[in-house]
Amino acid sequence: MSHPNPIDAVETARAVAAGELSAEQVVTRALNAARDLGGRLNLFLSLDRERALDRARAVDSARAAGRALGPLAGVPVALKANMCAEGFESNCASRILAGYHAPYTATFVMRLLDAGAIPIGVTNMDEFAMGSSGENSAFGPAKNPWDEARTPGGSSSGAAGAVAAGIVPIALGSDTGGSVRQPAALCGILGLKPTYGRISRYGLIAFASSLDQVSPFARSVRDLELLLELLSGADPLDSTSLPLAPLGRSGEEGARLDGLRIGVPAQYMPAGLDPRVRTAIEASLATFESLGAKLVEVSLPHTDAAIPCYYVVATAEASSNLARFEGVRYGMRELGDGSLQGMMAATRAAGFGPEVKRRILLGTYVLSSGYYAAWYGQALKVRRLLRRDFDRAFEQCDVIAGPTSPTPAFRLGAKTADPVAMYLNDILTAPASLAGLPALSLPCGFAEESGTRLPLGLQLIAPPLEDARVLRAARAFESATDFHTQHPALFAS
Amino acid sequence: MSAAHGHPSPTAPTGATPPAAHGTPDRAVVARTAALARLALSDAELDAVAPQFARILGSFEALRGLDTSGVEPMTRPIELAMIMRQDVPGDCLDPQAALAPAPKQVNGFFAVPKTLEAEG
Repeated sequence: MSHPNPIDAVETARAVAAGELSAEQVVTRALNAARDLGGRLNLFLSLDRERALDRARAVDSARAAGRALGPLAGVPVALKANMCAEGFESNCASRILAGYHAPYTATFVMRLLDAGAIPIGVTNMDEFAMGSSGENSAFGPAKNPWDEARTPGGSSSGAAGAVAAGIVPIALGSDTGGSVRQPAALCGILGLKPTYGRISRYGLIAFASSLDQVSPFARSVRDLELLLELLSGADPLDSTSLPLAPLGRSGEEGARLDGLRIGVPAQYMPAGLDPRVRTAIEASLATFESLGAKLVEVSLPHTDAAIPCYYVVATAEASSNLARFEGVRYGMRELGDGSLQGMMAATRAAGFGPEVKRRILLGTYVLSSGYYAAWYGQALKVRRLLRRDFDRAFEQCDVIAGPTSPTPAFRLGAKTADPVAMYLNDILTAPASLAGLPALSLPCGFAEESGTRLPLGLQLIAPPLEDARVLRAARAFESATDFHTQHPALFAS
Repeated sequence: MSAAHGHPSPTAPTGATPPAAHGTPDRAVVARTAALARLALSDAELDAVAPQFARILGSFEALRGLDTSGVEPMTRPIELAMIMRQDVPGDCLDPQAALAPAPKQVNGFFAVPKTLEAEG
């Protein structure tokens, strides 16, 4: 199963380099699928057809001239609308940034371009990455290619849908509390949130700076490995990027996992867990045992506090980060009563959607005098307790495994009236974000619902900087299963 | 850390313990918070958001109940010392490019409504 069907980024680049496919053919096909199928599912906010085709022709010319090609030469890629790149509208799916074109290009986009990858467009998302279903987009929700009545997950809704629907083999999202892992699970693809600091955030419009990580989507583990190699490494433009070299690939094919200790936290398999999710995870654990891994019970006792901790920390940081959108330096302006303060308040009132306003209010409240210690200060201490839980668990195991999402994809509209129910979607992904750990979601089964097959995701978490360890475990699992090769009926062929 | 400490209190005079600190924030607290956040909320928005706000904070009680005495706050996941670089000028953005996304500019500056009243 080293050659997933349909072909992944590594195979696409090989076929282009070998002359079996031209980059122009590959990119034209992706652009057409993004327009047609992507349009039907509302996955893209804008496409950059001419520039993408120019870049594809440049790859074909370079090949014809015998020049060396990059490892992603001719591979179409989708970006998330909170990523800055010259030529793209980086509007964060928000009215306040409608029409915003960044005057610079993110480091991670530069690294993709240097490798020969071809960005074709920016994808739909929850406004400013605040959401778990894509429904907080100012431009309407993206739809899940497995069932158009359901969410693809969020906040990286369009990017996940675009990979699942076969429009592009790879895409970049951003993961703050699960915004890549959860949509990967709900769309039946892979998503990797690296260790915090592995990939430069320069050019990613900030939501919560101590949590945000640029995170790739793919349909094969080897594509994730290649993307991590290309995107990781210190960046002088981001002082939180780790002073480390890019993470190299192991080069191993799907191997056994003899001796690997896989920790299963009871808190990630609670009594009320969806039985279809439980069954798929238990089968996945049995697969790991058959590959030689040893299962170990571990405990993450503060898991229940992860959601409040996350929503206090993330909204506090967001209230600060989003203060910059006030009608002066970018985006729209509403004059209000004509004063400076009135202009700012009117611009923000007209430009932000309801969930962004709610989170700015929450973040402002937990940071305000009299409430700071009880809410924000307490959340920072609980964040350390959550990290200690992981440190203790990793004394007994090498990798932690469990579900990525407590349920398969839910119906659009099912949770929009209740923010608390929506926030609980993040219960299994927020802890690794708060602790800064590498975590990956990969396809591990399906749930039948109303005659539709809905994908399920397995989450693997490793200690800080052990990104290669989750990839190794995922590669072995991929070689023993075929979930990653299956795709929805709505698939660009 | 990006989050700033010490917005003024949305309720009581600074320094006093606000009565709502351990209870449910009411509509007035939400309105004051909106003013601090520079968000002009309509009455209808305030009516809608105040009960949600109370419900969200109410669901966060698991956080408040934990004993964290002696626990150091964790502000970032990877606790690195501040990274320093050589104090050498590098490339920077062209001023015209930086101004281009602004809704209004005048003579190479961001333009805002007048902030000071004329004085006698």
